[in-house]
Amino acid sequence: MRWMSWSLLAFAVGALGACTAVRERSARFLGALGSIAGCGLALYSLSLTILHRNIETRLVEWTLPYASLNFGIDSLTAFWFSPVAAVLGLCALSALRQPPGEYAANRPREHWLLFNLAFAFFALVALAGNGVFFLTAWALALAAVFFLCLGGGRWRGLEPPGRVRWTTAYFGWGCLLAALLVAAAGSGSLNFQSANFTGASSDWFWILLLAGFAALAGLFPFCHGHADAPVAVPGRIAAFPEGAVPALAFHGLVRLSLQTATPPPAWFGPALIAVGGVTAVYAGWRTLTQSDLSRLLAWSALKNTGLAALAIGAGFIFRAGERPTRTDFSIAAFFVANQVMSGALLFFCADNIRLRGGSRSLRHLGGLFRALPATGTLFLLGALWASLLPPFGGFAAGSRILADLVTGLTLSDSLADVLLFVFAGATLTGGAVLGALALGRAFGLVFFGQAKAGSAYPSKKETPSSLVAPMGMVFFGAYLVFATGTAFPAATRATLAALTVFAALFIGWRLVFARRIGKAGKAGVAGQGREKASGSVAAYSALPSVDGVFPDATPAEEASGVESDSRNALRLRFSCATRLAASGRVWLGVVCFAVVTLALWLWTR
Amino acid sequence: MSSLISWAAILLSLALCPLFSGFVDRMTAFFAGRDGDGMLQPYRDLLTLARKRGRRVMFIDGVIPAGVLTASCLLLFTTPLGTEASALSFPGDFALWMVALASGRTFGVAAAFGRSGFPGFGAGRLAIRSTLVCITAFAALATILAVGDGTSLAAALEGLTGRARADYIVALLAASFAFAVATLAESGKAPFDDLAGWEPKLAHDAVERDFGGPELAMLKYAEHLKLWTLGCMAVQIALPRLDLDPLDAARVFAGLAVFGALAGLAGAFAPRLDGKRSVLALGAACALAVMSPFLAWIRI
Repeated sequence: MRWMSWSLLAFAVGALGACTAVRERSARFLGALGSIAGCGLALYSLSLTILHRNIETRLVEWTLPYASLNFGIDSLTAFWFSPVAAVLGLCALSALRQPPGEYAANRPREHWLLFNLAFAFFALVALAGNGVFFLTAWALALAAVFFLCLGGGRWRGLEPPGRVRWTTAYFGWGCLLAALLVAAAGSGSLNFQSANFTGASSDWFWILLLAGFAALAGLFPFCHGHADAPVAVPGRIAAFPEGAVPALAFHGLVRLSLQTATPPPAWFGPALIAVGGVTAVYAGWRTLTQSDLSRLLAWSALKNTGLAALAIGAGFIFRAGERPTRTDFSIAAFFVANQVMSGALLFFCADNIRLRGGSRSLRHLGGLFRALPATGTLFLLGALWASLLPPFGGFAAGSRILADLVTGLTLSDSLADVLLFVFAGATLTGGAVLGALALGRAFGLVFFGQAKAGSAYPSKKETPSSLVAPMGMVFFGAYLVFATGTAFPAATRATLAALTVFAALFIGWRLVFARRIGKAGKAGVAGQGREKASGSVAAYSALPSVDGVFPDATPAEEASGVESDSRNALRLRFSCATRLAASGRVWLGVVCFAVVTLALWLWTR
Repeated sequence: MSSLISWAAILLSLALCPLFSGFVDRMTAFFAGRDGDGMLQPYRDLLTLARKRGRRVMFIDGVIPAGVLTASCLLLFTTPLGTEASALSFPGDFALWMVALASGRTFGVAAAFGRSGFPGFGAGRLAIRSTLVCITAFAALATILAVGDGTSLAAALEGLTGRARADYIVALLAASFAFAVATLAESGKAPFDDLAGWEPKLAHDAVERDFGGPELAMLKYAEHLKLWTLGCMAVQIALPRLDLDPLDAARVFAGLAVFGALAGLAGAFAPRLDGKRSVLALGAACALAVMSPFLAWIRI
């Protein structure tokens, strides 16, 4: 708790420093320093809590009825808030060197003030141990993110989609307020540690709780505003409303449900499964029909939000029935952690694509892999991760939930249970498949699709490392989460087998292909296979020219646009050598990945 | 020993899957009264493609064919073949089986719509078809797991004894039929092969045009492997298990032959389903599959 207090202090110093600094550069430095230091301290504190399972609280009574300044850390908070803290810290890191025109570059004081405040209020939401304190922190966090999402130059009014999103969020907040008022009736305290929400025996408490957190997280029918919001949000800040808010909403749902004196009513888990399942399928279907990359990713995130709600609903049922399955809130938390991190990675990639591709519309993007190889690779990994495909944690959590749903089905003793588990499994499968197909389509269009006429193509290579590095760190963190936190060791071994097959196929393909490139070069010299050789030369025309290796084209050649065979052959040989060297790096990367996977597998056995 | 047998079954599957695809096509031609290609034609096609020079120039271009083929291999590794458990059998392995089915299609969609001249065209219907296939497969497998009282595919299939089959005959028939329909749809075999004028055909053409040589060979081989694996699964759901290993292997092979013949028969005589009807037919199969757990619950 001591480190968490230092973390909150760092945010406060960062916010204060950013808004009081004389020079913009100092404001940027102080704001970023406060965010990154605060995030680091928070993560350290959370990891200590997870490792040592210690619970620390601070309690200061207020004079307000039911209120107290009561906050603390326990394993539940640490587990749910860690991925959010990591993602927000990487957001801060990537905002250090934003290109001109971006919000963080144009108005650093505002940006870093709101960023630090939003982070601090989110931390307080997670740490809150009192109902009034919890609601106050939520209201302040939503307000900070609202103004952060408005972005520089948009102070004249938020666009309608964003307005709907924040109206919905405050509607959810109002429902929570009403729920806590109901809970407070009959109980003298709203402190979470007392676990005595005697008013929770009323169905109204659970209805309001469900409506409130559904509106905050963006479950059906509140999902439309949530999906449209990232279109109005500048850059990587989309990770705030689309990642942190749903994760903390689910944390709050679990936290409040554990404070009641009576268990949830029998309908609560099935209702959560129904809402989550409908959200997953509906959002998965909407993901397919989007042409804006940000909106597509938002729908994909909502699909995962629906699946998380489904997992939590299953957790309620399994807790009530004491069935011998492992789907509990821990699996749901693991799922949400993966959802937050994969969503952030994809939003980071989308921001890179916007910066270099000049657009977010799938109709205008295409063939970007040459310009953004690192972003493309990370997008592919993030898409696999968010689509619950191996070898990432989303797959481990999703398959565990599916397996437990089927186990629940086999143990069902009523028609209603059969109906529920079949519905849950079918919607989980359907939503996951729809989302996977949509992200596969987006990846294909953006990175391998035909370049569209009139589109703004990137003039430079990959975006700066200050923007790419945080994405790589998210991915690395994801891999660690998967390796250490997976609840499905057998699936890990199966994934390892799949990776081995993939590596063997890919390396075999590279070996065959590399040899054939050599043949193509010879064919080009001999005047055979001319078509292929020319195609390859065109493909490699972006390679750096070396003096003396590629003599400049003659004016006649430039006018005709045709190069001589001898220079074709020279260029092709050079490109073959370059490609072979590059493929060596690829092999090294694949081998390293396989070795790390093997080591982690052996470690987790 | 059992592990050795399961790996031998996998190697046999890897070797024979193009033959099964050729057998289905041959049966379709036979029942339609046409000459058709020989059963070894898929092998010839694969060999011709493998001898060609690759057209890809970027390393990521190899990822998509390799990913599609890996998904098919994973499907094979998680499918029990005969009396032996699958090579990657574990409690809950059906979830990995579902993931393998879906991931192959995801890579396929990325490949199809990547370089095509009609980006995104028809993705919706193609995706809905694949989604329906996956939901159908899930519901059918859930029925098998519930009836067989197992947590892994091998245990569930082992639990489908003669007594269990007699008790749950209607539910198992419904699940088997729906699974067979999903197999044909996923493999693009008749009557789901009338693709003229609708989107999967365009997607298919895009793959054929954009990929060539060894990459296209990998994609085609992955299709053959998927048809073989799904066919094996459908046969094991439909036919009771025999105790002796040789007889059980013969059961699978005979079942595959019957399945291929029935698929050929359907291809020859059933009306071709165009885009909308194809989705409707799959929707009906999906509804049947979703009903099967209820039928199992009421023990019919």
